[in-house]
Amino acid sequence: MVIAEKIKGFIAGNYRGFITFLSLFILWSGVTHYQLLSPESLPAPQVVTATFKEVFSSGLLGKSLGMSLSRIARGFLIGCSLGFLVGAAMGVSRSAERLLAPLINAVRQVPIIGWIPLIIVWCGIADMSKITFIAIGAFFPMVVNTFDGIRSVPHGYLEVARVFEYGRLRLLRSIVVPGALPAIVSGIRLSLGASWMLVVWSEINTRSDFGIGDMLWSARESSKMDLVIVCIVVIGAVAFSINELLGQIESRLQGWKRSCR
Amino acid sequence: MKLEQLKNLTFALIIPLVLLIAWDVATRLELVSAQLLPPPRMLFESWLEMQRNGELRDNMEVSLLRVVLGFLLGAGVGFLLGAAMGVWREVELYLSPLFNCVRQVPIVGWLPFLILWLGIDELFKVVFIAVGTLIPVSVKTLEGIKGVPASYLEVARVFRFGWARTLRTVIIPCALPSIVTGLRLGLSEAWMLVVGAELVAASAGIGNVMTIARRLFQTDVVLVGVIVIAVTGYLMDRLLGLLELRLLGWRRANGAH
Repeated sequence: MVIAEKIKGFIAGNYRGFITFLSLFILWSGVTHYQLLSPESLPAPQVVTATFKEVFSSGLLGKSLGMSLSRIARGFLIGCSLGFLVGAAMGVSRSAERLLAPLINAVRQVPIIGWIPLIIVWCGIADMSKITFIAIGAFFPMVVNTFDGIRSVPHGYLEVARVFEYGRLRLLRSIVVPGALPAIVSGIRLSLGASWMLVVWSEINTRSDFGIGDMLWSARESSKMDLVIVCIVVIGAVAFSINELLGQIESRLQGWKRSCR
Repeated sequence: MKLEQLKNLTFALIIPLVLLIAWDVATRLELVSAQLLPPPRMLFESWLEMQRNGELRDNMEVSLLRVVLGFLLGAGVGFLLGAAMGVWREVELYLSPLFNCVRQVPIVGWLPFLILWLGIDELFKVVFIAVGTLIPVSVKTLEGIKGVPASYLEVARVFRFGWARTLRTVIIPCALPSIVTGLRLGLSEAWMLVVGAELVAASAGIGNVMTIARRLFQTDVVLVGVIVIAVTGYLMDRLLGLLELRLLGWRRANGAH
């Protein structure tokens, strides 16, 4: 009963969106069916699904995704933890902020892709350069968010802690960390999202054996539009899942914060 | 106050100075090869050289032209799309699921798609940049318009403002800060994407200069390139920041927001 109501509500709210998707799909099928565009520039939907099944069952997709994700994991862990440490140091201590903030703000101005040529010169074109690149990309959002998070802990809380004569450790554990946590999690979300984009950029620029960016770029080089579309969908789906997963955690933490106030 | 600023400045300069000296000493003592890390002097000299022979100016002109064209195209379309979705509920219901789906894909994913459709010439770069600009601009425009307080709209209704007048006097001023934020995000995205596009497919532009220098192991040129794109990106953002202050200075003065 309730479920039926919910489904009804969902359909009533969303059917227009489905209409858009459906008409696009019909347009796509129609164009390819009557061959208004060459199959090279727009392959038929069946061809795309067949390609997807093929790369999926041959294990190519899984292996490429696995390689890219392992690069992300390594680069992200390094960049994110360094970013957290630097951001936390800057947030807790004024002199660290004075020392580091101007430098970090200056280096942050480099559009992240601009590092690629320099990293290739310094680290070569193997995994090392990709990991460094991802680490740099993950570092900056983390620094900024950790710093902002710690600085946004309300003054009143700190004063209460002083009144109760909390020690430094206890102050950190029971006030600063919980207060800064939502911002830190949103930093993690931002830098993980950036990592996913950056792994594709780095794999396009420095080719390797496997990786989703490699798959994408070799599909372009051999003009396989069907494979390009499969890659786009996969890249989008992974980006969406990362964002959604961490967004859930973030909103849960934020919810806690709101109910506390 | 003056003293405080001076103190901040000295603190800010400590680490860069130490790094610079370490860098200079390391290259003088040849602790690292000059090919990997050219001495600071050499960096300056190659910058001067690139300035003099026009290499820097010509390539920057190419890149900036691409950014401007792509940004204008993307911001224009993005604004119209966002505004249409914000003003007409029906348009939003029809388009936003598709739009939200498309914008999940990191822009880099569209790179091969656009190359296969548009070739690797100017058109592709401009469209690529435009796509990157379009997304933040339309998201922020939509957000800005949806964020107009309902009570303002009610007041406009009470005073029987016409459609155009409501738009001009209520919706646009309310949505403007968010729209300008979208433009700033879009511009920095555009600047990053032009470098990215030029790294993989170009015969001119600052990204291309860096790629060639990287292949020839001219680390000094690569470093100059990194600094130049950072400074340019910063200046472009400042420019929009000034525009924001011009347009929205009254908000801060009024204590609104």
